[in-house]
Amino acid sequence: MASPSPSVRSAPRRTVGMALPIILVALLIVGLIMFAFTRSSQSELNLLDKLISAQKLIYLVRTGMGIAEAKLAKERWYGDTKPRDVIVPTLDDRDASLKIYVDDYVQVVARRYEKVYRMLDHVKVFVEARYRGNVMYGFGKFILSPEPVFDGKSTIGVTGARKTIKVAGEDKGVVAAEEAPTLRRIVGMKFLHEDEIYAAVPTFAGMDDVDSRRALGRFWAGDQIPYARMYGRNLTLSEKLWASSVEFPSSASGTIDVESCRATLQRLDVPPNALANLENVQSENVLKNTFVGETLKRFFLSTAWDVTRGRRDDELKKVEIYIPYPPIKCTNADVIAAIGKAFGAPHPIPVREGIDYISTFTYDLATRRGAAEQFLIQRGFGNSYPDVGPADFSDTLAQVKTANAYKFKWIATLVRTGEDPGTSIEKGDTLTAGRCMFLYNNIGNAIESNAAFTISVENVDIIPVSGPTPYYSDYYIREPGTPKNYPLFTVLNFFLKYLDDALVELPPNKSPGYTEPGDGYGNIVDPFVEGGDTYVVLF
Amino acid sequence: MIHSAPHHLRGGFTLVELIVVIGLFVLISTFFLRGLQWVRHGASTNEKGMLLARFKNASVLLGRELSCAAAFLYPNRVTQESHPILVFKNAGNEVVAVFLAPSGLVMYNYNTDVVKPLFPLTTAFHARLIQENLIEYEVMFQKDQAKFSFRNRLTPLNSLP
Repeated sequence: MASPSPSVRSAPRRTVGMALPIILVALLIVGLIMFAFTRSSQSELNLLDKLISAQKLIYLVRTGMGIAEAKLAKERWYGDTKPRDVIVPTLDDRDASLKIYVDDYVQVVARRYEKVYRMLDHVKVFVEARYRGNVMYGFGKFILSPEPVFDGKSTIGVTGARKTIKVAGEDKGVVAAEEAPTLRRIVGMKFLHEDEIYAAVPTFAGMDDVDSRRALGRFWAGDQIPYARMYGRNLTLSEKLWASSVEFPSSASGTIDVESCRATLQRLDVPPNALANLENVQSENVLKNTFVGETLKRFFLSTAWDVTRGRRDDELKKVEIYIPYPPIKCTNADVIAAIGKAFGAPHPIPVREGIDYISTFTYDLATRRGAAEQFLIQRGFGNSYPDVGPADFSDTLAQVKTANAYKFKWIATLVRTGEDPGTSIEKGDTLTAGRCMFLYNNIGNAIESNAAFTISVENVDIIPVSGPTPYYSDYYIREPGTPKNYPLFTVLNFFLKYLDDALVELPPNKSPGYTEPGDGYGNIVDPFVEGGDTYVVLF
Repeated sequence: MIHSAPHHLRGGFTLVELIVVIGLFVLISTFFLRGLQWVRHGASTNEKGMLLARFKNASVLLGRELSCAAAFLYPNRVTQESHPILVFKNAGNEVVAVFLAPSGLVMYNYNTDVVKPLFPLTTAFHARLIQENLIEYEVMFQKDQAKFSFRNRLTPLNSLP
């Protein structure tokens, strides 16, 4: 019955007491290991995920631009009722969202055809892409040439075409708006992160805000002159890089020194005289005109110009610049004689095809110059571009003087002798030059007589009315044998829109039933100055 | 005698106790050393994370610049061959080259003569023209045993004739 000794009782208690902490500590440490491992893996996966997400944002913005361009190429779906819209496309990825904003910009100066129209200059496109909490913004400018009418949905441009319409039951010749082949493309695309957009436009209040979008458009437009400068400045270098079999010296490990890269580029960078000093040119006009002229040289009648240089050169060989509607010149000897009398020698001064102007430019095998390059040289812009407004420069290039126009009138005094004596007067314009010269050649002679009377010419005055007035014909650019055929001005205007936002405005909201401005609206230009009335004679 | 016996017993350890204590010591020492290793590993993971973040920024910058390019100038032939340099005109028509310099991947603007470091630990950079207007580029980097590579294909959005 002796009580158990303390050592016998405590031994089992001590064993249990030691095992429990060991197991607990071991479990804790295993848990920590698992936690740390999982956490470390997740952290690396998260970083990789962020890398992929960032790339996805870029692709989302690109997608937004593509959607906008495809839709706008079809039509301005909102054009009947409003000048802007937002698209929210449905995406397969629930983590991604896209908002595409389009804003119409109209030309300040309205245009008169059979009635007065406001013209759509371009559409600014903004994209807001979100992916897993990150956001990226995109901007682009959908340009069109010739311009479509602002009222309506069409993105097909219009030009003036002579038509006959019924006015009060009578036929009347007018210049009416008619759809024409149109060049369209989104240009000037740029992407910005959220922090960058606030740095660019501090007042930015979100893409939903029209004023913020307008401010962004102004911000991006500020890059246009440096853009034009660098385009011309780097033309030769670009062409040589494309054309040459240049090698950039690299080490065995595949690295390249900055110095050797710079030296390689400098060896190729020897611009011709026309483009050598563009870096220092201060005139915005010269920079813009250089851009327009040099892009024309490389344009092969398609906006899908993302091709290799070799293929581009092949396409350029097919391009032709020509005058589709040359003037019909007067060969009537009486008219020529009458104008000579009216204006004195050496009038009429002829404008000769092949000497004073060239009607057709094609690729020249000997010099390997494309049609546009030869055209520019012949027009006096082979070495440099003028310091005149780019719109005026485009006008000058797109037309050429093909004739001199003259207008005259005459008056002759006839004297009747014999029966019922008296004096009568005959007069006429150019179209009756035959009669004029007949009378002129018979001054002092009888031109009609019988037994009772004689009519003789006493005097003939041939009076100059106007002339020589230059008459201009439009150049067109085409690929013979294909439907590709544009007025040259359409192409020049298209490239000018890369750089020029002048004289455009964001229009106010349209409401259903919106109507175009009447004759009283702003400035109105008549796009079609008549080349010559029927009484003008061309030489 | 009666009192001295237990006192004598308390003064020593049994073999079992000794084994347990030594075992515990070994276990705790092992955990401690493991803990130190984890701290070091954690720092390395953190560093790797920082590197990946830099790599991400570099790849985004590169992707964005190339997306908005006006033209890819070099490589200038559609081939299977890769080149260690990619020359392009950026959205502002400036000539820019991306290549692996001795200091790492850089973006060199020829017109401003500014070199922008993109990623220092890059081990390789390759570019090739796989279609008339489609460039493929690949960037690789290595840190200790970790290797990363990033490959992308892009067309230039702001091309001109």
